[in-house]
Amino acid sequence: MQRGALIAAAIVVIVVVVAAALLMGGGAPQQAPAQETQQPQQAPAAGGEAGKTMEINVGFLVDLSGPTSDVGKEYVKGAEAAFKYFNEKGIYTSDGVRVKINYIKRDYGYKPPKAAEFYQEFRDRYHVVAIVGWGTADTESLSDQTARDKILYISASYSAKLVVKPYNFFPAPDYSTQACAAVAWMAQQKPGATVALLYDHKVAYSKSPIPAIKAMAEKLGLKVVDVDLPLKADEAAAEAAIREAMKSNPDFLWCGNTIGSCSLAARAAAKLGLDAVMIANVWGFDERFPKLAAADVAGRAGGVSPWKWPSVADPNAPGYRELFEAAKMAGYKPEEVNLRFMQGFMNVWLLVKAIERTTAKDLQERGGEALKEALESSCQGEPIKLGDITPEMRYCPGNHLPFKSSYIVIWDGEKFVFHGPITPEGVDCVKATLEGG
Amino acid sequence: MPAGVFKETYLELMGFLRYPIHRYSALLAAALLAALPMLADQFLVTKLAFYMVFLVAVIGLNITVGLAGQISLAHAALMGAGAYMAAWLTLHGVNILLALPVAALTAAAVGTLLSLPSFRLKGYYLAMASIAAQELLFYVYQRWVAPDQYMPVNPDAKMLLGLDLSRGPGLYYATLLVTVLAAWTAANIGRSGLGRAMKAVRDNDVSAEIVGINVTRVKALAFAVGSFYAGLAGGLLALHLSAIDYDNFTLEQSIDFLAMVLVGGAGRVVWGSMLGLAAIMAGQSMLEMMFQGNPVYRYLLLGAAIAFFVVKEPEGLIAVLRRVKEYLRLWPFSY
Repeated sequence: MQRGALIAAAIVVIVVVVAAALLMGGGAPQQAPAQETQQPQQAPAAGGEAGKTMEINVGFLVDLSGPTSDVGKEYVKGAEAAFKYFNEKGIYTSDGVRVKINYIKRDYGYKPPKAAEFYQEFRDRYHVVAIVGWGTADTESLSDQTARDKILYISASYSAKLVVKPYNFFPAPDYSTQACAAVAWMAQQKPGATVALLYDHKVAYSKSPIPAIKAMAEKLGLKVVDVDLPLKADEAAAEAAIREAMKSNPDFLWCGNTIGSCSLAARAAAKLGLDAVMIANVWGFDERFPKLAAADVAGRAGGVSPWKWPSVADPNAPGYRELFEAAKMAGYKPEEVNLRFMQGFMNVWLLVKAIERTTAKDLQERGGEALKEALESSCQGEPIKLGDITPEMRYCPGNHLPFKSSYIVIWDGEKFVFHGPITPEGVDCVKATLEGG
Repeated sequence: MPAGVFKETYLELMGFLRYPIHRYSALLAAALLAALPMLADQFLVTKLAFYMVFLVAVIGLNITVGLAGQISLAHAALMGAGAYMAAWLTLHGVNILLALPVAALTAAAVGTLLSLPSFRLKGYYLAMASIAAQELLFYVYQRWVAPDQYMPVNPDAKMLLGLDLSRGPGLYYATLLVTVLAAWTAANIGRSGLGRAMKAVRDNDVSAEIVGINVTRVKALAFAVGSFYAGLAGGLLALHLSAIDYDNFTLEQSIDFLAMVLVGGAGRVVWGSMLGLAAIMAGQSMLEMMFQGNPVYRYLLLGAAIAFFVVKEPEGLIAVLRRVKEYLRLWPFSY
């Protein structure tokens, strides 16, 4: 009798655990740190709704375990610091209602199928109004779906294909426009130069700006050659790619991967004696690059960046001040605030800007659609600025390219030197990618 | 057999619903499945429908591996053949419901082609050949089929008489219908002449040949039918997703499918597949919750659990369930 009851109980427990695990899917919700109710620290905009509060759910898709976690982990720190900072400081709609953001974080390991699964969870389980997303392939492949579901999507991917998507936004020029700036800089440095394009031929992110680079190079009289460099490269793969590149005797290297892969390529170039300057995509170069490359890359390694990095900016300048305050509030030291941290912070801040431009009623009733229209109000109305981090940004319906200029950052052995900003001209780089990709 | 129930014909004896409890259970399950969108929230319904896609794929592999004994580690890639065909057809204006059978047939054709080595190879060597096929197809998807990493699916092709089949109740009922039909057909294959021939080949192919079974044909059919199911699952995946990414069809996914078959019960195409799918998916979900951001532990623990299970209970969860059922049937007596 007792044994039978035990078996029956065990079966019930197993069934419940299995069912719960299956239906929980990607894991238990990780909501924003509990916020104590606070009085507003700043006067909300005048309006009849002042004093009220509301909550919204936001999906937060991250890569903490996949091939882009080399930049993803720092990005997550910045974004989470921003969620905490703005929640505590107070986010107010244009009619003065305080909005608290509950974010649901999911690590998809840079696997688009997992992203699609988590997207369904965000939409159907948490009814999110916005998603702070990550990679190129997943963001691009979800873009039509988010448009149908009317969910605002702010991504860490700056793919040109997202510029024309109605619900996709990011606070930067797209990869193609950034890469065109790099090509323009290369042409200034050495007219008629040869550029070896190192990128993973199977990864959407790495491939994204290639058609634009080729169009720009052709316009400026540069010669380009393609070389496959895996996104998840090891030293042998990086050396093989550099040997392949050396066959064309390049003056410049373009690295279209993330920092792990690009720094290995720079190390291989130094080891094999290739005398060429490597310029990496925005996710391929940051403050950690010289240390990661662990080789003499002075004057031969650099990257594109649409913004001044926090390490070289005035920490008291608008925008940077908020960034450092958020970092401090989240328990980070100033030296831990790097480019990736700032990128995460900026994406959340852009979401906050959208909330601030909408009314509580609109946000409640139309969710992501209201947020999209709020950002697009910058097209004809007041532009959006994230302090001094970005120039004035305007998002227009059908064209979410907020600005076009980028810096070329070169490591000179002691410090990072910022060239520019450079605005590519003569080629519509977004169009080149849309038509060529 | 419960007391007082007598079977007078072979048909009755072989029926799926032999005893009253079977009929009541089936009725209850059917009512529950039909009413689920009204009872549960959309997330749970969508999630369940998503698992059904994988159930169809596992049932297919269970036919190839469990019934016919032909090991295959290319099942995910075959699912990809169906998914890409379905997605491509929708981009050319074909409705997803019409694209589904074409997707299944495409995968069946590819699977039959890939079955050629099985005519000469067995065991480990066949497994190696199927891994090669998996990697070959994956490479083709990466390089030529979806060079942008994904192929979009036309959302307009997912409409039927104004009903959106890509989400909500439309998605659930469409997936449920296909899954039930697929499971019912698979269960019948097991007790058909072809199913018995498959079992004979699985148990001893030399003996099967001696009694007049065309082993080559049966092996080819086993791969074709299994691949048909994989393609059907791929088509359903296209129904569920807005784009098909090649990362859906990795060797890792193929191994997961095989693990589901072995853990659930090879040869028990419906119940074994369901149990295996539930066990592996639940295991993955629980480990994901426990080790978020650290997939290494997840792989280690899940791998160890599968290995332990296959060694300790080679007949799968279905055998455990059978023993529990028998115990409860006899309870409170021990025999």
